[in-house]
Amino acid sequence: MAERMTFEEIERSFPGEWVVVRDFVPDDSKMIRDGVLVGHTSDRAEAHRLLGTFEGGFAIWWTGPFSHDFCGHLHLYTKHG
Amino acid sequence: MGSLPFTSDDGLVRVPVLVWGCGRELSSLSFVVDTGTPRTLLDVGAAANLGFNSERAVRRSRVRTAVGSEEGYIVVVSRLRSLGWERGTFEIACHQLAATAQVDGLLGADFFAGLVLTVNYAAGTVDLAEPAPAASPG
Repeated sequence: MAERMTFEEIERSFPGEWVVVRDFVPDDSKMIRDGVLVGHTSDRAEAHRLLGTFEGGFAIWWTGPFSHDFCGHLHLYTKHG
Repeated sequence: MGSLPFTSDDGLVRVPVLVWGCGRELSSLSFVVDTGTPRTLLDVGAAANLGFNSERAVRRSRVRTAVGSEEGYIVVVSRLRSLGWERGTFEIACHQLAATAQVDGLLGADFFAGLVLTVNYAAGTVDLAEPAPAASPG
């Protein structure tokens, strides 16, 4: 049976990875208070694929630091027309 | 609500955002606070997993970047919450973020409209609050 983990336990266990969690308890300051780990991966596309393997709400986040070319990835300087 | 810690030590303000999906209940995603983008933006992959796709778009969206422009679409989420504040019937633009992006969206200026956003880099905290009432004359 899948184990419920706290945010701190997940961050400590899977540094520098995408994590996907279900049945989570929300928290305003952290991604979640706790939840059931669905999977963890260094590949963002794989993390998105995991989201499709179950129904219901999910939490997804990256546990590592940002890369130096992060701004370019995100289109941080945008205008919408 | 008081100041909240942001989870980045490299200057970018990463915060959790709760989104009520379409046919999928509450989900929690990681966004970067970006007052330089006028509209809150969500990655299309994450949007699809929330039940939003181009068929649910209310109109098209285009972002212009240093290397060109890209088409996306705008959807309306019933509720979106972050930093202790909630917006209802809120429009977000869905665009493809690079595969190597380490968040799933940008929390744009439209979310902060009418409020006071305070980022304290020294303390590593961020706060979103109502503006102080104007002082009465005299």
